Amino acid sequence: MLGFISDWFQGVWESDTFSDVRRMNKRQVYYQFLNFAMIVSSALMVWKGLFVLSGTESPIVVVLSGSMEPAFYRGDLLFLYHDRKEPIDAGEIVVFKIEGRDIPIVHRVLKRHENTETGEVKILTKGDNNQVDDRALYNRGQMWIRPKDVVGRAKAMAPYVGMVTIVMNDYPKIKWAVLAILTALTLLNREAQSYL
Amino acid sequence: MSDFKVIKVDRFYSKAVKDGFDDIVRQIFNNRVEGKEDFRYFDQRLLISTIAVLFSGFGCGYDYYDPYPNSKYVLATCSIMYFILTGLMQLYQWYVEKDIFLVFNEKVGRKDLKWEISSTIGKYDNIYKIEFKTINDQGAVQEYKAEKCCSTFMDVNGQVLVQFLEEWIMKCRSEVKPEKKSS
Repeated sequence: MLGFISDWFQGVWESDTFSDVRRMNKRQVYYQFLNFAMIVSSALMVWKGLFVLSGTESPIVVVLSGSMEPAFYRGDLLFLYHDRKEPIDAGEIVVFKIEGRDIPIVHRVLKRHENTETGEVKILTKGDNNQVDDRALYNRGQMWIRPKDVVGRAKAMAPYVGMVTIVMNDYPKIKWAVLAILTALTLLNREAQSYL
Repeated sequence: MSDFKVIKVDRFYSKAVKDGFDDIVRQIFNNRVEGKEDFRYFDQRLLISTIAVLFSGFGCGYDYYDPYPNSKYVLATCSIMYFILTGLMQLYQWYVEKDIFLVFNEKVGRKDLKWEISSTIGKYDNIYKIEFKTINDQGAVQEYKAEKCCSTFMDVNGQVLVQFLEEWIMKCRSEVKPEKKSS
């Protein structure tokens, strides 16, 4: 079986499709890997650049549940912006993280309390489509969240686009298959206008 | 001809055909002409790309060890530098490197003659266009352009007909650099 598979791979490698890849010398091979690295780097630099522009480490989030219907539906993409100096008011849709948990939550601010002497601010949130506020979601003994827990405010939305992310997370094999195919296509497709 | 690699290309894909022909032209110059290939243009492109990737890697690594918002200024600098360098690389490819696929320094006696050879094939075209440019020690430039249908150098199976291509290239070379006739 292994022999058959290795013969098949060898046949594919020696086919005409990969003739220009087989002819590549060291510089060209290095450039192929560099080209792949540049594609990954471009995505990473756009993402990290969005951190700086949006003021938050989660500039784009996907709505994972229907707790904010009809404002946001599962699969919607939210674009966040966070100005830490601007106070968070009741009625704003914020994205926050509970301490110790990675997944952010997109809900509306129900109440805001501020201690005018100490400046301490406490916030209570609730999903528009939920019956009760979010105290059941907070950590045990936690009744409020703080401004430091807020990662951003929703400023724009793109409907349905986030379903791709949801499918990839629900079926990780699809994600790895897509990544593997894209990697192979990038490395095995000789770059146009190669000098060598 | 035995010192040439056999090349078979996907004859319906113009980029593959151009790459195949370019590789043969490179082999022709390396095997038939006295001199050495100059990799300067490509090395410069590799250098710019490598620096860009290093900036990106540094920014991501720094952010991993000291997450945002502490890494804000490092991320901003690395992102900006990365995009400046990729833009620079694109400009370099458009205006400096252009379609040049071979730079060759031919030894002519004690002097060097620099060849810059570029080629194009249109996306849905079947004409292989090649341009030769020579620069001698005094900086004098000579140019010569030629074109031929791809089918002249390829059989129905996509095998490059090296002998025909070699004849044509050497003829073009003599047009640019006529050999001294002995009396």
